[in-house]
Amino acid sequence: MLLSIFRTIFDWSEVWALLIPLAILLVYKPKRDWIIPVKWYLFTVLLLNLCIDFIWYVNKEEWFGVSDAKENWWNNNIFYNLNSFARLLFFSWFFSMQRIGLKKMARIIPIAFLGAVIIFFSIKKDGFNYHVEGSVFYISSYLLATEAGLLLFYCLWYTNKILREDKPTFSSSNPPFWVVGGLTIFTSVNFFIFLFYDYLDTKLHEDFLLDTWDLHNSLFIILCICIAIGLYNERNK
Amino acid sequence: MNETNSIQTLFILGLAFMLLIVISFLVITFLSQRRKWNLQQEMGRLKEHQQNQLIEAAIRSEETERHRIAETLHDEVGAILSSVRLHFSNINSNQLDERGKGLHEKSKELLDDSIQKVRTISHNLHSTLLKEFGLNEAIRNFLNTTVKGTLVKVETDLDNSYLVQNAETDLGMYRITQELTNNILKHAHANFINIKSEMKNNELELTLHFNGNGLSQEEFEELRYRPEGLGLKNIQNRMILLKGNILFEKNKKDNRIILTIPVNREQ
Repeated sequence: MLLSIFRTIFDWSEVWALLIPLAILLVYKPKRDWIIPVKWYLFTVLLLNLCIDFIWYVNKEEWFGVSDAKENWWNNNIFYNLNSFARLLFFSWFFSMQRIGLKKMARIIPIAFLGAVIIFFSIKKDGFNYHVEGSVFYISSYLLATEAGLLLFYCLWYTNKILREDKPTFSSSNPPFWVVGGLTIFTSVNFFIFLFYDYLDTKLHEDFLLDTWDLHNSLFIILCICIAIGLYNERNK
Repeated sequence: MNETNSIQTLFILGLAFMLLIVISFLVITFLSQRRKWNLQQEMGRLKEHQQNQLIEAAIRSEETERHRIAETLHDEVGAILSSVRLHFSNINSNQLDERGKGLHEKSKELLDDSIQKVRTISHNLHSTLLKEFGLNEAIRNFLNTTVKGTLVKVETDLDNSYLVQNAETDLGMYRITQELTNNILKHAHANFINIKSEMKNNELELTLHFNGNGLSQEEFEELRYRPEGLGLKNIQNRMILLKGNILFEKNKKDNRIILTIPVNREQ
């Protein structure tokens, strides 16, 4: 019983975890330029994750005439794709504000990624998860790995840049660093998981792959907590 | 089955290794930045300390110069004027005609005035009273001598629980009060000044309340950077040394300047 409650709470973590930084935003109303893209990211992803989890729940509970046959399930993959693009877009915006020499690149990368996604969906015919071939209604681990890799590149560039600076670019409670820290941990694991996902899909048991999604969710909670700390520290300033 | 297990183990190990590298990188960055930050803070503190030392040296030399001028005025000019007054008194005015008697009287009055002025200036420059009777008495005496003969009404309400804690602090507060009162008399066109002091926990709050044209905090900040705002700059420097705060409040015909300095009651 307790395990089932815990499981339900954890399954909805992609929604409630976002409420932590959003609550900080609403209560303390921190005002800094770098917060704008983060705020947009939080609200957009909350909406998308609500759709994802709602559709997943409809399938699980077999509401609205959905049967246990996978073919009849409602498809939420488009929201995963939108989620991935939103993450890249808003964090590119965030990094373009950080004065680390990535302004131009951070403008080009989301557009290039969007172009790659469009080309990919028009030529690729299969992918993992619940397939609806040749459309944005399936997700590709390679695209998710690319998105995670690009975000990881931003994060490492940022940390490398501030390591090389003679003067400190932040204090011990620097708010953007918390966001970058959370994002680095989240994207590094995502990158690793999605890079090998298709291979592991063929070699490992489905339960193990589901566990990797649990890991993905746990790290998403960490990312949200780090964003919340960053926003809270900005309130202290 | 064995192959599956080894792939699973390899994957978990790879993931853990990746996490370890990333987290270590973040921790190193964080620690390095904190070290640089602390170093910068330390440099800032040293710079501030050096700046305070310079201010202190400037204020000390100003005080020394004031003392020197005060002593010269009192011991030399004052003595000469007193001697002149003595010689002048010995002149028998009965032998003079009416015009001569008038001039004699007038000269005596001017001489008395000069002696009095020299004494007042010398006392204001020299802080003997402050050293002997403390800040409250020095402020009262300064106000009496400065405002005497003007149309300005002065009131004082000074907290007697404040005792001399540090000669330098008292001197700083005294000089600031002098400068501010002189400024009020010169620029504010006030006809009422009230100086009130109050001990609040471990702080002494001294408020100059006056009517006329006051200064707002913004105006004070702006004026003290102008070359002609030397007095205000000195006030600010002294406040930095006293580790205190100065707050200007400007209202219609009702202005306040609030000085707050930390006081160690145990001293």
